[in-house]
Amino acid sequence: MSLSKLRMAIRPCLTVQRSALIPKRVVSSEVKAHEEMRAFWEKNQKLGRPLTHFTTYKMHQPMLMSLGHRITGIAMGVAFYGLVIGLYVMPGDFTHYLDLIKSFDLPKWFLFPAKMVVAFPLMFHYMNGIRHLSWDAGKGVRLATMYKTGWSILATAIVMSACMASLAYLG
Amino acid sequence: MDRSVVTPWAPVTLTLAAVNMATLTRLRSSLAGNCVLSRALGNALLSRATPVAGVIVPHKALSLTPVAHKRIYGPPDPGMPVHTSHWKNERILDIFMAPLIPATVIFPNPVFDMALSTLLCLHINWGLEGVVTDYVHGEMLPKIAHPAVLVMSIAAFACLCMFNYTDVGVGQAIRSLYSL
Repeated sequence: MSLSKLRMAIRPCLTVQRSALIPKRVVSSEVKAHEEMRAFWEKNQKLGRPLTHFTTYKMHQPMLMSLGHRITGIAMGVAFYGLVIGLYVMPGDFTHYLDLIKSFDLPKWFLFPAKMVVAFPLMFHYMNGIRHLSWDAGKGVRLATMYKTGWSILATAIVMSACMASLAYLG
Repeated sequence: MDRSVVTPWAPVTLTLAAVNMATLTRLRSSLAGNCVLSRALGNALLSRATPVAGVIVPHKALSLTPVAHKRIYGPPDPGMPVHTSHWKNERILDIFMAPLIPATVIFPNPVFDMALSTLLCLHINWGLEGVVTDYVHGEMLPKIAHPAVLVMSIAAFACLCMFNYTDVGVGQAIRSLYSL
């Protein structure tokens, strides 16, 4: 009885972080985290330490997928902005330019791959984006799973862009 | 459509688009982060489980409590903007955009067109801004690149609005191009 009372009495001392047993250094280092981070980068800059170029590392699939996600994102973003602003600045409207393309009477062997090349970045970015969302939710982050989903995304993106390109020949 | 009818409306659309984009971009962390709807959506869609106290790096990184956040990243710096709510808003936007892209192409209509245009411009704007933050360094260059991205986003959004109001619209445009 008395022993359990003693335990209950000293429990707060052992569990509360800011008891006399724990030095105050722990708290102050927490406060300094940002300053330390800043000092680290400043020191690196002052010493002129070289940055490791990404070509130092061996190419692997997740790295290329990540790189591809960025590149397709930037390319599509810039191309989309350019197209939209260009269409406003140029004198004709959309139908005018569509008729212009139609008047060229481009052959199918050119149109099909051209459409695929345009559709592939979107499909790839779309699918990989969904994978990123699932990673953010904490799913599929194991390395083996990552490789599997990576290859399946590449394959599905190719198939889906081919489907998009062949839509014109269905009806 | 006749251009001469459209032109008087261009400054109005441009101004509206500029205000819209600027507001959404500048206030994303302060205002949007504290928005009740955004919070509720974020909690409903993204958070997985309550983190266990004492874990250094929780498995579910989305559900960082303030205490866990402080333990990993240090206390919030008063001089620095808080980016976690912005990060969350980007994910919410992506979740909405994922079904909207096929929906707009399959069922093109003005509502889907405008919704997709807005989300797409915001997505590209945040994406390019992230790229600029990552790769553009130095004294002067970031000061030019960041506003440049914002200006381009505003211009593109304005042009896209004009395209949706006066031309065939995004969904129909993609359909026409792919039925060539």
